[in-house]
Amino acid sequence: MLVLAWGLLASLGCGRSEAPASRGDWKGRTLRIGTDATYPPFESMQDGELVGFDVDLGRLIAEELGARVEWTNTSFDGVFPALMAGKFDLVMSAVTVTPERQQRLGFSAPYYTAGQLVVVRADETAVTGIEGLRGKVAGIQLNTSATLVLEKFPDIQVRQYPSIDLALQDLRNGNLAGVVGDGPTLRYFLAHGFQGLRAVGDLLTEEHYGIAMRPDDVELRAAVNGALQRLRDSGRFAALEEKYFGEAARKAPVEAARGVPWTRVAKRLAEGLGLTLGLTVLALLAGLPLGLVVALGRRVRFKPLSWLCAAYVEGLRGTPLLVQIIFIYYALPQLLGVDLAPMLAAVLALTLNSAAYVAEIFRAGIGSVDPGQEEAARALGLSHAQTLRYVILPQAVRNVLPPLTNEGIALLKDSSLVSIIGMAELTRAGQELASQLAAPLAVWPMVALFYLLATLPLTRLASALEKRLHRQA
Amino acid sequence: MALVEVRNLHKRFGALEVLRGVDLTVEPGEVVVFVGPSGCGKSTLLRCLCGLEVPSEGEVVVGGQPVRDDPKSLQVLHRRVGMVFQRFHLFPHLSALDNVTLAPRKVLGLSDAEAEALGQRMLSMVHLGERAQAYPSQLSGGQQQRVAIARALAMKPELMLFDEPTSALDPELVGEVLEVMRELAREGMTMCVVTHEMGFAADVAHRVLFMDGGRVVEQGSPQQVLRDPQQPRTREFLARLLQR
Repeated sequence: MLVLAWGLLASLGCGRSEAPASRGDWKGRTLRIGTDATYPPFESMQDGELVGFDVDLGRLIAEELGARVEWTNTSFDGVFPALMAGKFDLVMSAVTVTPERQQRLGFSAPYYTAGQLVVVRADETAVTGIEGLRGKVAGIQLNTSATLVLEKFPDIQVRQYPSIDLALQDLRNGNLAGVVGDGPTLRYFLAHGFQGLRAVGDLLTEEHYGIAMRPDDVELRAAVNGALQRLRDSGRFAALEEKYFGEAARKAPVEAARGVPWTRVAKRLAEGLGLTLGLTVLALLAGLPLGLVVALGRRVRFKPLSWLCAAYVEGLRGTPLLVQIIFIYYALPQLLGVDLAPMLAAVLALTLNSAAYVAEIFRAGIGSVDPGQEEAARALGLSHAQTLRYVILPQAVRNVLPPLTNEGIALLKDSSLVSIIGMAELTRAGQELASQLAAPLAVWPMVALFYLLATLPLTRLASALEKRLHRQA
Repeated sequence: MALVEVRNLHKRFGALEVLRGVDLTVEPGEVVVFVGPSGCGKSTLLRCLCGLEVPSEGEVVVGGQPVRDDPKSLQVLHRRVGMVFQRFHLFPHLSALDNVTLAPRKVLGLSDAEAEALGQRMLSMVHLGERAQAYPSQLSGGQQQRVAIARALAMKPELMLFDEPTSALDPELVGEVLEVMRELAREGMTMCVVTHEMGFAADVAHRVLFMDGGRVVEQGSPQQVLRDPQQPRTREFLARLLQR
């Protein structure tokens, strides 16, 4: 996915990076930072608040620069495209500095040294290090530097997961021989809920986390490096390290073992569901009329217009929604110079996409009305528009209620894809909770339940409506 | 002046020529019945008269206005000519009354109250005053066709066209529809009827036209055409019809 997003941006000439380079003085301005808060102890969500080492460090850096700080929580897949599109200025998300990334991104001086670690099931005594995984299947998080380690072991089969807790869960389920990932985060998870797993061997690599920024943002890099140096000099950096990785932190991990805080989970998921419902309703409200217009446009005798409408349907139906979301949010700003807020981009993408499906549903519905109906209406002297309005459409709408309900439900679930542009809807809320609590098995069934809570009333409403309309005919 | 004047009417659908030069005059108050084998062009002729088809060649003049292929003038024609279809084509989502009042309200601009009064009158005229609130699916075929007639009549047409109005009906329901058509004829409505009901043609028609191969083969009074046909093709057709 990230490869695709990069391709998209590269084809638009993202090397130029149209987002304006920031000037050196940040006093009184807002420093926008992107992160993927599914990576404790560096960044995670707790009671709706961003917490973690990176979050505290970002706050301190902003303080040093005299700037306000504004966080955007988005999926790791989307974090670099968003940076390049100028959606924010820095990425602080436990980003490992690699030569490949350095070609495309600018990095601050390294601020944390980590390494890759191998985790296996506790009862797995045969594996004592990465060598033991040869000929077996290992899990990693998508697009992380674990890939670089495993490239050296071509006989280890790699399975990629959107977040590291899912890889650990699959390991626990017995589908993987081991998981390779960042040491600090894996240790955090082992201590917080993933019992029955253990780390084997030493750190495989020495990796440095850096703060990522656009490569031409030279003055910002200087400012961030200066701030980091001052934090080190004043001892505040050391205090932060002690807070997260010191003796006290290692003794603390009892919180999660206390069990899943259900009310907190339910509250957070309810918030996510609210956003999911809001997105779906807005996209449907806009997508239904737009879809109808496109469907009618395809019937027009003026060929260029009907071709345009057909092309619209084919274009949006034939490409993945995820790509459309990425295009609208990340590429449109560079193409047209319009910067869309995530909410607006999400609603726009969902609307445009669902309108294409709705158009086809309406087209089929109109086509299913007996042509004799139009003749009868015309023979009575009704105009083309009146025939459509009073005779064809009322019957078409009745025919298309079941497929429209399907489309509404599909849209509700597809709306989870907007998490790539940082919308904290239901699926994203589930992702954050699952990693924060290290309890995917408890969280995901709850997420499913919440989706069901939303779709069931919709189905009932549609079938009631359908019954009422059919009583007449 | 004749209400309908058709001169050298040709109608082609692609390579298929359905009408090959038809001439026809219908006087006000006249009832003309068209008979002929299926595919002879009689339905197409009716559709040309009400503007659902436009002539490929020749001329159709209704009430002094030539039929032209532009939406505005076709709409004017539609208002003056009522059409009753073989398969009724009632609007299934509307009650009987709403089926009748839709066009008066939307095309003639009648108020709801005016349209409703008119609709009730029209439904009573076809003996369905009691079923005004029923939906088409709740009515028998014969009742549906009578609603369709009331719907066409509500536009106060100068000419009523019937395209095989009883062909889709069960035999026991044919009578009630023909009865309504008889009453209309008695009141002096100008009518063009395509039908296989020879009894109706004999009783009601002023003139019968026999069509075959897109042409009018023979015409005259019902007595002449039905009892004493001159053309072999007419005789053959009527003989086959009687054998059924």
